[in-house]
Amino acid sequence: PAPQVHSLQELRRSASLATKVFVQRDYSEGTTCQFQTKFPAELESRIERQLFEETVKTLNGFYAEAEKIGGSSYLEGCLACATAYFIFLCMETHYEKVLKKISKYIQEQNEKIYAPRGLLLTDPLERGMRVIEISIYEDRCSSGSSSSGSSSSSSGGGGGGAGGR
Amino acid sequence: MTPGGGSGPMKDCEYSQISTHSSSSPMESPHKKKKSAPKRKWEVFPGRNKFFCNGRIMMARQTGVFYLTLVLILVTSGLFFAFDCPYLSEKITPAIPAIGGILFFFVMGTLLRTSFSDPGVLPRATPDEAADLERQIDIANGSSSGGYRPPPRTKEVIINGQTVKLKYCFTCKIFRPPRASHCSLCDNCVERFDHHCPWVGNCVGKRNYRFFYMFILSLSFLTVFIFAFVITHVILRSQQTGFLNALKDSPARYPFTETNYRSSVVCFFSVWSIVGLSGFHTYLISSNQTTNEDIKGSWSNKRGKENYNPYSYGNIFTNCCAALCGPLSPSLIDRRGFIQPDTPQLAGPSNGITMYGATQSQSNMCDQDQCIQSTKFVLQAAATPLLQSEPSITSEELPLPGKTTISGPCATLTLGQPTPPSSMPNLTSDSGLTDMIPLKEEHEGHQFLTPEEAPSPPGMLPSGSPITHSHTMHVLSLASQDSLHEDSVRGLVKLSSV
Repeated sequence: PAPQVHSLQELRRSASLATKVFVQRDYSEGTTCQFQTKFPAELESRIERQLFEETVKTLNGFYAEAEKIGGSSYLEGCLACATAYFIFLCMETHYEKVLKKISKYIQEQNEKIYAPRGLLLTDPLERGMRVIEISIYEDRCSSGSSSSGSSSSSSGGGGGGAGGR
Repeated sequence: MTPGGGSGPMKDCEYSQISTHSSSSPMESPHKKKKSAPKRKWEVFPGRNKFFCNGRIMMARQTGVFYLTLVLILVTSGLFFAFDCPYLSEKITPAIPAIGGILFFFVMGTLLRTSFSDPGVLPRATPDEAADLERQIDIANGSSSGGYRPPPRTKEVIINGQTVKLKYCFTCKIFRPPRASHCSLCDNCVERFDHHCPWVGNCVGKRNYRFFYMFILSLSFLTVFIFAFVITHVILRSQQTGFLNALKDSPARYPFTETNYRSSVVCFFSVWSIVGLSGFHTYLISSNQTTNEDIKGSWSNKRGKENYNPYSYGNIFTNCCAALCGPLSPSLIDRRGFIQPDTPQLAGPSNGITMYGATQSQSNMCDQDQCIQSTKFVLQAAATPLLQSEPSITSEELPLPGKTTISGPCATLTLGQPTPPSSMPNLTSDSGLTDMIPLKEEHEGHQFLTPEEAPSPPGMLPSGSPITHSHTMHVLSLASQDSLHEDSVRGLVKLSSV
């Protein structure tokens, strides 16, 4: 079957959202922002375990960098304090810079790895840093395609599969 | 764009031209206009906060005391600068008004930062998240056994070797991260919740704790400074002209004596309280505790020898640096972002519960949890006999305020008038609610039910917890009424011990 091309907006319209998986926070190291690397069962058939783990580990690394307490953060803190925190009106904090990096990374991951598999990562920032939300889409494309991502291409009909659950 | 890796077992469809902008930055969607102008998120914020300057400024609902703080500081400092500084700068050194000015500037800057910034509010769970959590809790608890008291929703985590219990927040529908707490006055979960400070008109939490600390520290210096130099001024004047003359009510001296007297009085009382508070918070910072934890004695040795603070870095210096100079996390509630028309509002479930609008009980920063639990029991007790006789009671008719005057450590604990659209007296949905009876959720006409809650099994109270306070309890089964009475009695006993 000819490969079909979808933009992400079209994906949302043409594909039906089957379910969402939530990767929860890992509090074993305290209140720093880390996510659990446990592979959710629903993604079993959709994406390789290793890719997923790598994504989460990279994100964890970014957050650890943002929240690192070290020389540069002290400097920023002291400078801000000395100016009665007025400097925050014009300067971007280190944390915000890392968040931008994270946002770009997630976008890139979505484009390269997740969207082709009918998945979509949501930036944890939009969910209050509580979860990484992964939306699993069922695509209603032509009958020739496998709707549940199973290896057999003869799964019945488009979109009729049980999805990632 | 070819999909990476084995496309065989995965989808055959290719996806390209993926613009992930709309997924990762909701702020860039003002073009998706409906017929009305796009709303910003602060306009539909479910917590009880006030917003100013189109969402840039965020405060608690009751700001009266904050204005008092402002007035006290401005007036005292103003009088100092107007009447004492000219004399002192001549007599001693002009550095005095300069230093005073710097201190004043610092105090005002930190005060406004503390009051106007987001303390670290956790946004409420999206409907999908909440549903997912509910499902996981159901699985964890096993099927509802029909017991009237499902176990409280807690999760245990081990942090640096110490077991910490995470509580489930019924209002926000999330498991609170460690050190987070739900503020009953603002109706928000706040990260690293310290306390709600009426003097700054805001909660003090992770994001504004350092501003708060710098505020009280600089205010201590300012009050001591003003106090010292006012006394100096009086002494110097009296040396010149004699003490009695200095106090004589002459026109030239009237402003001097009156203002100095007033300044001194204000300063005297504030010095002790502010300096004391600064000292207390210095202790908290050096041991990396919050006021909340200290009051509850979460990490005190009295609880057990194995009890220690897992968040402390071990030494005072690191603790202080981490609290004051650590990185500043961003605001999670995105007040000025635009609401995306296609995504369901975050306030979805809470809209159904509609906590906002209803004035809550106002408690001080005493043992809120216990007080609140007790209050809930009393409410429950109060509501039951009424409802048995009036099955079709509506919230406006329920004379709860008359029944819930509680005396105790929480001095003022009154229920305000319910306001539309949510005419439901509400208390924080603490995990203490799980001790209460589950209610049958056959409230077809009940405006507060959201679709996801309606179908949940009758045995599961927690999903209907706010409805615990609702007045459509006329569908209580007999058995649950018995337990309800039992609980009311227990609650009253608990209340008497508060």
